[in-house]
Amino acid sequence: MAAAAITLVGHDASRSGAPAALRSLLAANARPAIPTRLVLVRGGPLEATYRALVPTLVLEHGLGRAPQLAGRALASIGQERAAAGARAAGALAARVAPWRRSPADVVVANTLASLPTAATIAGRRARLVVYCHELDHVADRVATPGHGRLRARADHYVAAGPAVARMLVDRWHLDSASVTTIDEFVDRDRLAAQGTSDARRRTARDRLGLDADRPLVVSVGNAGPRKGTDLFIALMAALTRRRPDVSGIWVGEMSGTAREEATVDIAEARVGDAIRVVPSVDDPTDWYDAADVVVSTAREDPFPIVALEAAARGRAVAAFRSGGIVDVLDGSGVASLVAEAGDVLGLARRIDDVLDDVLDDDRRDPGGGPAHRRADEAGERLRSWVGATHLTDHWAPQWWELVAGSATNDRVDSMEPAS
Amino acid sequence: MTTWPIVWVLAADLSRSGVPVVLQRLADASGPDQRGRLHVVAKRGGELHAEIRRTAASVTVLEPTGRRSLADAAAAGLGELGLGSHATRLRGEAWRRRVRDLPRPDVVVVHGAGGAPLLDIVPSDTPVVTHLHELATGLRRSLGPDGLDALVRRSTAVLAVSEPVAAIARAAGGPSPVVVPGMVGDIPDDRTRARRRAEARQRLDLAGATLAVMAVGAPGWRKGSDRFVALAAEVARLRPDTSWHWVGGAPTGRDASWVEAECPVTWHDALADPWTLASGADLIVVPSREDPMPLVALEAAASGIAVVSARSGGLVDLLPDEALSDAADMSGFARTIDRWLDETDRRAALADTLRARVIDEHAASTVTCRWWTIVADASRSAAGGR
Repeated sequence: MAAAAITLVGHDASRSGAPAALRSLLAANARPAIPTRLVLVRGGPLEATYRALVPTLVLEHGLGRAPQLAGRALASIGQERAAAGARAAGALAARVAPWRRSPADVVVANTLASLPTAATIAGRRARLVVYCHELDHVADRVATPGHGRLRARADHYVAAGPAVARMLVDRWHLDSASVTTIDEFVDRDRLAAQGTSDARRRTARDRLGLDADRPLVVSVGNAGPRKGTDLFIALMAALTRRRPDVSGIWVGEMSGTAREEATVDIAEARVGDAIRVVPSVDDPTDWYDAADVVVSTAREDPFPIVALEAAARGRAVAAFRSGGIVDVLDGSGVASLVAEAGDVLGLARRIDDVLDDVLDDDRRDPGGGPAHRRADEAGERLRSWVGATHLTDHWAPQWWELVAGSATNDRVDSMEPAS
Repeated sequence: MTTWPIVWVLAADLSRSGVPVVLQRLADASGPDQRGRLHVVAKRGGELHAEIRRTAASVTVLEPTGRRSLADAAAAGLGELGLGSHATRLRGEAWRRRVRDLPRPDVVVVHGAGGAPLLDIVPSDTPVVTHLHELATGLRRSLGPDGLDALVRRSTAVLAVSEPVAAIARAAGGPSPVVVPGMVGDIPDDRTRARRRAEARQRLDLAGATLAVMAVGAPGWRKGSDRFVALAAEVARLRPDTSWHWVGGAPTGRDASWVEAECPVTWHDALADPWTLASGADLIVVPSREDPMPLVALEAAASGIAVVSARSGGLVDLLPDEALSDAADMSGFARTIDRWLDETDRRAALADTLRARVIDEHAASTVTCRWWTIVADASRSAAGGR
């Protein structure tokens, strides 16, 4: 028996990894016959997209914010149980939504952060599946009191990558049979590209108004310690000492403390001329295309979608050996641009090496432009790997199969991408 | 006999971090007649609460640790609603009730910029001495963009823990700042130092030939724990005979740590006395982005351990130029460390020089005497003015 109805629960509709993955899954719903609806704790820029795909309820709209605000106020004075009660009261609103006559058989928490809300909506009857996109420190941060009980309430976990699965099984000691790994993925249209890698670089730089010849390192993500903005600046400081012509662009929100700290770091490293910060964009494709190397300086990232997106554009990805990026780069066989965690100078050397490594003239683009580099070869290998194994088509059918099947408690121990 | 003024010291917290540790040392080093006049008022408590209570006349903690009081939560709510002045009044009234039984102060010392919000509880005609322990980022975070100007204008005297801090205070106007530096609580003799070193190295399981490089403090952006990791990775390439340790806990929370990663640094939990481990160091590295006068450097010097630092904050005045490095040049910083590790005699000479300097200028008795003199003068001059 397949599920009669599925309720998905997301913590917000931002453009970050987990909400973006949910959008792709909804767009690729392999079982459109199953009534599917979405409950969001908070809204965001993807809300309209979600609404176009499934009936969507946002809990913190208008008066709906009151229980969450009360929850936060109660938590701040140490009344954690009362706070959890207030938040649960907010989640109950989902039960009186227009679809109350067909309650869900399966409720899916799209992140650990949305687990308390999902558990309230699931009540005692529905099966509860957690699609876990968090790694250790974020998981700790979003864990509310009673999270242990909620973790046990979940019937099945979907781990967004092997690193998350290792956390769930090795460090949370969940039964491995209750954890299925489904890697993050990107939509097939990310691969769509015309012309050679070099030609795309020139076109993108032209569109973005960037210097055609200057080596460029790009990082994409919301600034902060988790994504390693401090390390990106240190990396650029080290790189500019090796090659003064290199420039770095951070694409993503940079506000509050993150901005304050980045400003201090950039000034101290005297790399103001080499680093540019670009606000978050809907589609960073041009920025990937413009780059020579895309770097992930994240300390903690379960399975960086940025790395997959950059790879889909044929760009080499450099990173520190921490969290899920290791699974991406080892899996694709392109591990030459990985340095040990925090080894800024080691990573700078590796990037410098590939930027330096100019290919023979007979392999260069007839149109001239910047020299082809070993970076492009690494990027092309990554691109092939993503195209063959990490597109939405590869993973979404399994995901829906697993979620729909969980209504009948079908055991799914492992998943392989569809070919 | 001098009659010391009744002093309220306003502090943000009583945790085991630099600013409260200085307060604890100051209370310890005060004479009995001074301690009886010293009343500490802190917004939040912490590990040093009990220790300071043993020496000061009283310690009053205004807010619970780890959560908000009802009044503070209500005030925060009012602030969210744009009713900031009501919030300040509400919070101030709740705090004033907590201190109403204290003797009226002759002078108030704002001990670190984090203590400034507590001025709300002080009668407006009380003279204020502000002792700044922060550089630009710390001041901005504690006081907001224009808060320093207002604070120094309200102050009868301004003290700074180092010359770079004094320079910032000077630029903000108000009374000319006086440097009253950080202090060490304990200056071990040669035999004690040798014993502590041996014990620490045994605890760390360090082989005789291994050179131990250490840092001490709460890891994070300000203390530059990311730089320490990068330096460890680079120096280990230059010389594999080093062992790198950070005493003060592993990076966590906002400064999220690495996941499933090899790290060249061993992270040790914060200890009441970090020198039970750090005494085993051959070299102490201070990679801080912003540290007005790192106590760890003074304590290392007191323990006869050489110090190498990023060229920032108060250590620029303490350390010779060869022991300072431009932190943005990570490669150069690593080479500086490598050089100091290489030259044993030179390292010992640096340690001796630093130790002599710390005994001379940073002994708790010396600094505390200076502090009381300035605070008493501020009280007297204000009383004379009235």
